[in-house]
Amino acid sequence: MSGLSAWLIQRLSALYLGAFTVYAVIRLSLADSWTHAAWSAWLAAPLNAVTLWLAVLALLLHAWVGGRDVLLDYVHPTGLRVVMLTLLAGWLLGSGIWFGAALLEVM
Amino acid sequence: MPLRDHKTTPKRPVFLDLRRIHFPPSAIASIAHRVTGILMILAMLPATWLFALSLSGPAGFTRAGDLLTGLPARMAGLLLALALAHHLFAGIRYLLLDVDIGISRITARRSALLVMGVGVIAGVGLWLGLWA
Repeated sequence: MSGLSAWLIQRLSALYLGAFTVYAVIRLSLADSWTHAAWSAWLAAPLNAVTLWLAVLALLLHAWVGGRDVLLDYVHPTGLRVVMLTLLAGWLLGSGIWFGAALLEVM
Repeated sequence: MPLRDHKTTPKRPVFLDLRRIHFPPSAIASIAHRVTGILMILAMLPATWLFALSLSGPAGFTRAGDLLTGLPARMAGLLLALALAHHLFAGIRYLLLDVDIGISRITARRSALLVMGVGVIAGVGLWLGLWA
């Protein structure tokens, strides 16, 4: 993923994440007290689940494109660059899969 | 490193005194956009761990809540709230610059200062809203 597609993905994911962040912050601030049952049920509600899955996907793509850009700008030796990019990919994929697994448990 | 022959090498001005270099606001906002992005990437795995813990059961939910209200999480929360707010507002500025809004030098300078100011205020506000 590079060039125009990376540029476009970065901006489309930014728009979605911006809107989702504002919604999530307002929603979390309005809630008075959460319990495990209420929290699980809220995450499992269809509309919340769909918007959250999309947000996770957008976040992973956004973090990959952004993190990759930063690494390519500042890390020049090829070997170290490959290691850092691999670590970044592993970090993001690990977070994403773990998050998805946890979310699937309550759905 | 071989010594340079000052008779043949043209003398170029070297001006790297960090106390005297002044970065323009746009550059500071740009660097901050990158630093805050990296910070949030670093927070992703710990945040996912907390999320998974909160869904693991009533006991895990309580444990996650206790961890979130502890001092380390509060401090990390302030840092991340500031990072998120700056990243969001600086990001909106870039989206506007992409469609040629505010690209004159004066406007870009002002919007960079505005974004950084609003980012700090919103970041502290967000932190207070979520933790207070």
